[in-house]
Amino acid sequence: MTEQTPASLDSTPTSPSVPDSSVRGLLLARLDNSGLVPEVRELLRELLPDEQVRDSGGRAGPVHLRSITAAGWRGIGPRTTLELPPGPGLVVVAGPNGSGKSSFAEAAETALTARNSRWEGQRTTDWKQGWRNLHSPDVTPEVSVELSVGERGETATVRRTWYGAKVDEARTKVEGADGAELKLDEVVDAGALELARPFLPYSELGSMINGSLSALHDAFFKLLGLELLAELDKRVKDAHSEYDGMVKRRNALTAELLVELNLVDDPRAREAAAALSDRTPDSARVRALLEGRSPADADELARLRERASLAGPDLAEVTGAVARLREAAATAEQARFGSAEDARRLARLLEAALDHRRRSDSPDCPVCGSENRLDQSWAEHARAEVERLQTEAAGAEAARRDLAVAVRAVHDLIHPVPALLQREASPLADLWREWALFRGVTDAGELADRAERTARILHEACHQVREEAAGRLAEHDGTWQPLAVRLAEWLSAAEAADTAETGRRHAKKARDWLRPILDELRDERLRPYAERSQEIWQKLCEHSSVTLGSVTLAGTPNRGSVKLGVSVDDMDAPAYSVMSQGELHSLALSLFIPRATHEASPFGFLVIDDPVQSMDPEKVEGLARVLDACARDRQVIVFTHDTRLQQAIAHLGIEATVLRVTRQTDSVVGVETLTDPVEQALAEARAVSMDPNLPPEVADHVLPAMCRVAMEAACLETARRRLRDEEGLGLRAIEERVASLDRTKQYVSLALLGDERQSAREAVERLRPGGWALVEAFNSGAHAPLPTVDDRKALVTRTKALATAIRRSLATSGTSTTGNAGGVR
Amino acid sequence: MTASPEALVTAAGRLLRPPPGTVHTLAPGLRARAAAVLLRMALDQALDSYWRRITPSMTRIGKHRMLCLEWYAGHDTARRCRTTWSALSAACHYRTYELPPAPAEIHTRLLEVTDLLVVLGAGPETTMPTVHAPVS
Repeated sequence: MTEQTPASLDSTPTSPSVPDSSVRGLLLARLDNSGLVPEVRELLRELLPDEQVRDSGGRAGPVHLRSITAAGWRGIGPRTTLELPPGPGLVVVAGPNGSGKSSFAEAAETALTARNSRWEGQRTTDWKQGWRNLHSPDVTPEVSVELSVGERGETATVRRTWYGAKVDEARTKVEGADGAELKLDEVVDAGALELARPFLPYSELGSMINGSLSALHDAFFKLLGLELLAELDKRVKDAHSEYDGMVKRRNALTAELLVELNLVDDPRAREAAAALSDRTPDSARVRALLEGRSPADADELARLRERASLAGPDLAEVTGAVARLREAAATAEQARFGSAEDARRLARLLEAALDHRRRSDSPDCPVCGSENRLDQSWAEHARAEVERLQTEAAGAEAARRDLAVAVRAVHDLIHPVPALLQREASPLADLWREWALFRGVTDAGELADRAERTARILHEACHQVREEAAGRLAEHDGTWQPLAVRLAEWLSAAEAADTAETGRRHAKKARDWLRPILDELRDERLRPYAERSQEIWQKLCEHSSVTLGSVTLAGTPNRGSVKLGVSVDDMDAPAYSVMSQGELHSLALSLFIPRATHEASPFGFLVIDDPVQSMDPEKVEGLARVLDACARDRQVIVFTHDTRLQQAIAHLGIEATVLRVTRQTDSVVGVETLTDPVEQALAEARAVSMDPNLPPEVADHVLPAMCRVAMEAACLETARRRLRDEEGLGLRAIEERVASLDRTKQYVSLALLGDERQSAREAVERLRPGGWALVEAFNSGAHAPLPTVDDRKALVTRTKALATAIRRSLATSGTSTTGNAGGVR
Repeated sequence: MTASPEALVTAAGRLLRPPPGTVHTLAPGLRARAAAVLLRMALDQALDSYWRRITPSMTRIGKHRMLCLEWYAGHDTARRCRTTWSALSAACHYRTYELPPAPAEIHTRLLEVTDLLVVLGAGPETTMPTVHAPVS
């Protein structure tokens, strides 16, 4: 047995790990076998969120309640503690209205969660103001829960005390068994508390079944470990809509632009319109158009552009050159070539005459024979004449050269017909051709006159053509420029959309692939919960005409809902409208319990405030059965003012501890144990024992068995307490030990010695001399016959005495620990 | 009253869900109460014959009979008997200011009684039932 315990402890998870650890891996594995194209897989892999590590229960183990304490809190004045029996089981806290039952329920919730569902929702202000007990202004308001935490069942006290008048002016302090301060997360995992919600307050019981149950949906989603999947789905959806937006923007722009382009008479606009009208708009064509590489641009626009830059003769230069030509011609006219030749010849003659006179030294003219004519004065005159004639000849030559230069200068200004005019048959082309011909004109006068006249005309003509072409170009550009800007905008949108279209397709594929997986995993994981809900509903409303069919989740977190397949006499109907209040409460319980009792929840307790109200007797019986089932492995603490639950418990023979809360004046609240499983069993045995008409054979058969039940119940309670407080065992370990008990002797040994393998004979005899015989009789089933009522009463009395002694054995030996715990406060 | 428990149950059923065409002068609440009386009688008779098979002189105190039954017929059957019997008893008593039972509720009890008649009719278990452990 002891060897088995650690092994079985290992096999059970020590931390409440919700089964989400595998979702990512599972998805990746599915992805590999999905048959999706690599891009889609890549997209999904990229978007797949990292595993959210819920550091929940790594530290915080299972949590059970030992007691709930309140002081100066709502209906409770002086400090009052509600001690809870150890181990799993049903605890009914009964009391009339206003006795402070709910105050305890709310105290537990507030201590652990620092909030209270009554503060949220309606009449919040009233609740927020009325939290403090009115009768005890001198008591520091406090709510606390004493917990057993973790596998070792360590004691921790979570205490919330108020320092101010407002409900949130409080601080929570957590103390370990040794008084050391702990962090709240070390003891209780807030996330798990939110998820498992072990508290069902009355206000929530009534309002739980609202329209969509979206909060419940979200809780379930987390509970099922599907957040990751939901996140992935959301990311893929976002990606899809982003891509979709890009494509839509492109399409919208295309439509707008097409309208605008069709309004404009421009070759580029036509070209652009053609490119946009394609089923898949041709962004390459638009890009070419914008960069001016478009064929449409080349033709007419190029011609216009050329004409716009058509340069005619430079009128100023031509005028200058013509003027210079005229001047040179005039100069040349004066110094004609012939006169220069004459002058040169005459100069040579005179030079020869001068030379002859010098050589002959005779003043006579050798040509005409006149005497004394060639005297000194002639010689001087002749010499001067020679110089003059030579100068004159040089001047004439220069003039001739200048004229040639001037003619060439004019010729140089005459450009041949430009390429764009060459094949044209326009007046301008003719004019230019004529102009070009002037290069052949050499006569200065003619050249000057014609060039001057034609240059002016041509200049004017070219100017006109240029103006016109430029005008047309400007006209084109004026409408085109804004269009070009719009087209550039379109182009970037279109380029984005081109990639987006692929992305969108991939995202859609990814979504299509993901959806069924999400639904499948969700339904698969929800199924156990749904089945539990149906089971509970079935128990609560066994013969109701309303049946709860499927419980499914629809949508994704924040927008999800819990879909309840409710039908009335096999007709589908919305839950809200066809159910009575009692049925709605039952439905709320059906949804609440599976969530609060799912196996990963670290909370070994449930606190339900007044579920009995508005239930009919049958439902109360069903409720008692449901609570009994939950109480097999959990502490179920039910607050009720209604005696029907107690009745049902008694009639159904459900083991329960019933505590009664009473309230005296000034909010002095007391808690007493009305009955518990031991008392229940003893009371039944006592009743039967006192019946004088009970046949002996029945009494012999029944009474020892009843007494044994009481004895074992007493041992069980004592054993649980002992293992918890003295051996430091956690609930699971305790329950495993307890479940292995078979014989009454073992029960007694475990209760008294903490070890079922030792004999408790001495311990029993110490407690009650002669008690061991009773134990042995229970153990073997061999009792002395009980012929008289006195015999029967004696058996019950002995049983009660021993049971009480066994229960007290721990109380006396354990007073010190309890006393200490109290002393800390 | 020599009617068999089964006949009483059938009669109760007819009161609760009259066959079509029957004209009833009684209000449904009264009929339900009458059915409750019949059903309790049926259960009592079944219990009587059950006990007669065990002992000729079983005590007449209902609660004790129920408590003892647990050790012959088993926890579940005994508790169902007790719950149903208590519910029927409550339903067939006139209490001023209290509403008569709802036919639907009594019909539920009828189904339970029918079931219990079968279980009880099968007779006491020959072997002594194992002692019920407080916590299973």
